[in-house]
Amino acid sequence: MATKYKDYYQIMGLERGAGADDIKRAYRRLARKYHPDVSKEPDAEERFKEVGEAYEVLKDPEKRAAYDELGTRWRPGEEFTPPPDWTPGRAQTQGATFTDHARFSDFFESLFGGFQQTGRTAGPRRGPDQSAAIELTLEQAFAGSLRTIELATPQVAADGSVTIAHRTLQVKIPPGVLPGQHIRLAGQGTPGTFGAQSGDLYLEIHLARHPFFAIEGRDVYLNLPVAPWEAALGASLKVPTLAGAVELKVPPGSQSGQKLRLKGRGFPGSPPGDQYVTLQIVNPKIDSEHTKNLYRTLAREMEFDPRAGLKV
Amino acid sequence: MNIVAWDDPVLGTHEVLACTDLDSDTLTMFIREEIVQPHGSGPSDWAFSLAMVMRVKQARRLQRDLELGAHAVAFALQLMDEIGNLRSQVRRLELLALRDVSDV
Repeated sequence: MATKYKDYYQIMGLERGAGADDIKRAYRRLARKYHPDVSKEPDAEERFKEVGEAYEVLKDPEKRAAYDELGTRWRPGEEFTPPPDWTPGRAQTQGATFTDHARFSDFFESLFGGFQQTGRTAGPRRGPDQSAAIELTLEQAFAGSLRTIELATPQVAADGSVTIAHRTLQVKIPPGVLPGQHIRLAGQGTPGTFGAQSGDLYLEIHLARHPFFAIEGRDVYLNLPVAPWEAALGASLKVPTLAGAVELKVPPGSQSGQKLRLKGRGFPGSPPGDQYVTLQIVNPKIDSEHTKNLYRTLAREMEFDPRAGLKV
Repeated sequence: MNIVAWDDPVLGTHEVLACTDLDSDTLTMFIREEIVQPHGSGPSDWAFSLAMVMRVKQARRLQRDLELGAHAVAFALQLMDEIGNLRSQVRRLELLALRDVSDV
């Protein structure tokens, strides 16, 4: 099977002659930088998988020697097929420390013949958990919803071949879920071996961007356009919330940027979140002599210098 | 299909060990380090919420992938929480732009 060659030394930023301590140090440094639980780098997960795979090979003298035997004929990303005399499965993965949801690359598989966890004897074993992300609208997250999701699960046959099974699940999303939270579907993960129970499926909640609401924690934020006279004179306005429109009293003399709070109108919880409304004064389009005259009258009748504080 | 609320303590010790692939000593060590604080007085009646289970899974990943001891995991999580709270605070302030807020 042709795969893409990986330069494990380059991935770890190491020379070919690096010692075991250098390898461990490089791994720890890169793992701290790219660990998906810690890192904010956009490609952290991918980089962490690469680093974990490189460490898996280089920390193990047997696997490292086998890898070094390949020499320096290939460049990273170049088409790679193991040499004809290569014995698949040599130096198989033992004692893997790598993260549970990671998978090694085809390149690794072509060299070391499959991921075997150690210390496990063949026999019934609970299937691994599966993770998936589910994107909801803000309204769906707020009110709860019924969603249909499609999952692809790898299934290993008795002869070791892997097929992908597709299945559909209906998931009831409870009201008030927040981004980053998970929903656990017990027994819906990867099937166990020899009749053991399946793992669980964890769905991580992602929220789609909303055209006018923003959310932080349980609080909801909204910019509310108001006319100059509504801000000046005060008004009772209809404002959207996730639970439906409510009346909002804009106090007389309000300014653009002023914040008003609708207590308890955010996401449900104990306590529930609030909705913050930021007033944005929007000027009407002045497109007729009549409207211009209205403004001219205002300018003439009012003694108002918005730049008085600037002393110019 | 078993769906549980995020904060409800509904999972027992046995179930948490099965779904995190941890041994009971490590879980006990995590609890001693206050990485999670389950309801109940001991392993036989500990009850974990789903949020706690995800926390235990995260602690396990950090322990294994970064080769950390339980105390270092607890410290790392504490700092990560702090960073998360500060990021959240920054975002709140950006959304509110530091103006006075009136209740209506």
